[in-house]
Amino acid sequence: MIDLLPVLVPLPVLLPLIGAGLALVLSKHSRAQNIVSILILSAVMVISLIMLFGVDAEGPQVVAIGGWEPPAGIVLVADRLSSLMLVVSSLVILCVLIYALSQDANDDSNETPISVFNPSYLVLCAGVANAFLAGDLFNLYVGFEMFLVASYVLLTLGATAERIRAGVTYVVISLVSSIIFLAAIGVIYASTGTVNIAQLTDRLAELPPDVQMILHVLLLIGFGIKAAIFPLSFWLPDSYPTAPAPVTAVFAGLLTKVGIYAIIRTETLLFAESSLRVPLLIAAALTMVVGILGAIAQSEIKRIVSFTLVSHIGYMLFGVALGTTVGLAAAIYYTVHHIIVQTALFLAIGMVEMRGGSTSTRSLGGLMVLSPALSIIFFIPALNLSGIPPFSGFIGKVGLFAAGFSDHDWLAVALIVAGTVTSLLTLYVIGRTFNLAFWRDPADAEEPNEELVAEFAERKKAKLAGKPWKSQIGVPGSMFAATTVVVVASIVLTVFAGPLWDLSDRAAQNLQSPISYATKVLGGDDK
Amino acid sequence: MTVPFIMVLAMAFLFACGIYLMLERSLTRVLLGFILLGNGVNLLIILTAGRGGPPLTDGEDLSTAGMSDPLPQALILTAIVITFAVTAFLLAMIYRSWRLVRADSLQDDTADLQVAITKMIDSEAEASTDYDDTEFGDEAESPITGAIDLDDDGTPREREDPNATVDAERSGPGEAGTTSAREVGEATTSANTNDTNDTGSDGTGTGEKK
Repeated sequence: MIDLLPVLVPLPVLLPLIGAGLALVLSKHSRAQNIVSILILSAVMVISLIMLFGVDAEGPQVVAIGGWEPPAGIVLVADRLSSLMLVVSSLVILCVLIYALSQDANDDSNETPISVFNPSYLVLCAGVANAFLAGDLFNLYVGFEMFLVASYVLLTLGATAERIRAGVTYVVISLVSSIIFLAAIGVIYASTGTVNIAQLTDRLAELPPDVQMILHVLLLIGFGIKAAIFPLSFWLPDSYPTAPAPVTAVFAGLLTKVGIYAIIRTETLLFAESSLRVPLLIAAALTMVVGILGAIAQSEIKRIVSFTLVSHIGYMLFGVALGTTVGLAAAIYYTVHHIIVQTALFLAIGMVEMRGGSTSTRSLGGLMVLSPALSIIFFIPALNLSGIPPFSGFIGKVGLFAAGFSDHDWLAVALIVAGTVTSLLTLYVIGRTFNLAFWRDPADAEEPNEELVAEFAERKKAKLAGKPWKSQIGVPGSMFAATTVVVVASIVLTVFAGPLWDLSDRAAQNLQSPISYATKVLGGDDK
Repeated sequence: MTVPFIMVLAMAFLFACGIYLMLERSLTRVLLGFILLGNGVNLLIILTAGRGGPPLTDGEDLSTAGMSDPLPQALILTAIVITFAVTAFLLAMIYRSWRLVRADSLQDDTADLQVAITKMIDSEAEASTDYDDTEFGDEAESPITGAIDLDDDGTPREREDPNATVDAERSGPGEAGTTSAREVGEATTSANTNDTNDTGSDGTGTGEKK
C-alpha cells in the first residue's frame, strides 16, 4: 500500500489526458469513444477512492514529477483535502458523463457534437484534478487553464448565437481572472524567488506586511472571479444557463468549487499569518444575500438555480474566512455537499427541460402529475439545498453556524443571521419554483405550453375514467439513473455525515499546520 | 534584483493599453486588449529574473555565477503557449459571433431584458413613454443600432405605417440611422438562415429552436 500510493497520485491527471487523446483518435467511432471515456473516468474514481483512504491512513503523498526533487521540480501533493475533493469530483464527472451520453443518444437535434464533447470533457476532468493536486502555484495556474479552456469549448458547443453571446462574456471574464492570477504568480516569484507552495508558506511570512497584502489581494481577486464571490459573480448567472444541461451541471458543481479550493489553500497555507478576515466575511455575507435576491427576480429555473449557486458560495467563504479549524471543517463539508447537490439539481432541470419543453416557470406546470418520479428527483436536492433538516445542507449549515458562534464575534453573528435569511429565501425560491413548475395546472401558466396542457387534460380524463395512463414523452432511463446516483450520493452524505465530518475535521487540522505540510513536501520524501 | 526602468515602463504601458481596450464593447478591441495584457504579464514574469545574463550554460563555463534565472523563462514559455491558444480560440469565437449577428460588439442578454420588462409590467409602470434606450430593444424612442425586436411586432414606425420601409429607402440622410438599424436586423435574420443551412445538423441548439 505504501509503495502503491505515490504511483497513484499522478494518475487522475494522466489518465483523462490519455483518454482525451484516445477519444480524439476514435472520433469517428462514437461508441468506442464513449466506452473509453467511461472506463477512464471509472478508473479515476476508483483511484481517487483508494487515494483518499490511503492518504487518510498514511498522511500526505508527495510525488516529484520526472524525478526532479522539490523545490526545483514540480510536485503533486495529495493530502486529505485534495483527495476528498478528487473523490467527489470524479463521482460527479462520471455521473454527468453518463447523463450527457444518454441525452445525446436520445436527442435527435444532435445539440452536442459528440466528437468534440468527449475529449474536451476529459481534459476538463484532468484540469480539475491537476488543480486539486498541484504543489506549486504555477502548476495550479496550468490546471486552471486546462479546465478553463476545456470549459470554453463545452460552453459554446454547437456555437448558436445565444451560446456565443454567453461564451464571449464567460471567456473574457475567465481570461481576466487568469491574467490577474498569472500576474500574482509573477510578483510572488519576484518577491520570494519560488512558486513552490511549501516553500512559500514561510517565505511569504517574511515579507513586509504591505507587500503581503498586495499579493494576498491579487490572488484572492483572481480566485474570487472563478469562485463567483459577490462583486465578481456577475458573469455566472449570465453564462451558465445557456450551455447544455450536463455541461451546466458539471460547471456549477465543480468549477466554482475549484476556486473555493484555491481560496482555502491561499488562506491556510500561503497567508496563514496575514488574515483578511473582516473583508472576506463581509464579501461572504454580500454574496449570500445579493445572490439569493437575484434568484427571486428570475423566472427561468436554470437562472434561478444559477443565482442560488452564487448565493451558496457565500457559505463556503464564510467558513474559510473564520479561519478556525471548526470553520474550515464546516466549509469543506459544505463544499462536498454543495458540489453534489448543485449537480443533481442541474441534471434534474435538464430532464425537466426535456419533459416540459422549457425551463421557464412562466410556461411549465403539472409535472407532479405527469412525471412524479422526476418531481421527486428534483424535490430532494431542492430541499437539501435550502437546508431542510434531515439533509446534508442542514448539517453543513448547522456546522457553519456553530463555528460562527464559537468565534464570539458580532461580525460572525451577523453572518449567521445573513446565512439564515439566505437559507429561508432559498426555501421560498425553491418552493415557488416547485409550485409553479410541478404543482399547478399547466393551463394556469402565463404562457401555457399547449403540449403540456393537452397531456394534462388527457391524464385527468384517464384518471376520471379509472384507466391506466402512460406518458408519451419519456425521459431516457440512463439519464434518470445517473441523476438518481447523484441524488443518492447526496443522501449518503447525510447518512454518513459523522465519518465525513470527522474526515473534514482532520483535513482542516492538516490545513491549520502549514509547517507540517512544508516539511512533508520538502523534507526529502524520496519515495 | 534590479530591472531596467524602460522595461518596467513598457510593461506598465502594455497593461494600461490592454485594460483600456478590454473595457470596450467591440469584441475585436477586447481581443487586442487581451493580447496586450497577456504580453504585459509575460514581460512582468521575465522581468522577475532581473537584469539579463548569459544563459544557463554556454557549453564551456559550467559555473552558475552571473547566469540568468532559468525559471521565469520556463514559466513564460508555458504562459505564452496558453495565451496563444486562448487568443486563437477567442478569435474564432469572435468570428463566429460576427457571422451570427453581423456585429462586432457584445450582444445584450435577451433573458435579462425579459426580466427587466416583466418587472415593469408587474409594477404597472409601463405607462411611461420615456423608454430607456437599451432596455426596450426597438421599442425605444431612439433605438440603438441593431436593437432587438423583443416582442416580435416590428418597430413602432413599421406598425404606424406599413410603407415605412419604402419611404426610408427613398429618404435622405436624415433617415439614415433607422435604415441602417433595419438593415442590420435583416442581415441578422439572413445570416441565421444561411448558417443553419451550411452547418447542417450541429448548428441548431435549443436557443434557436424556440
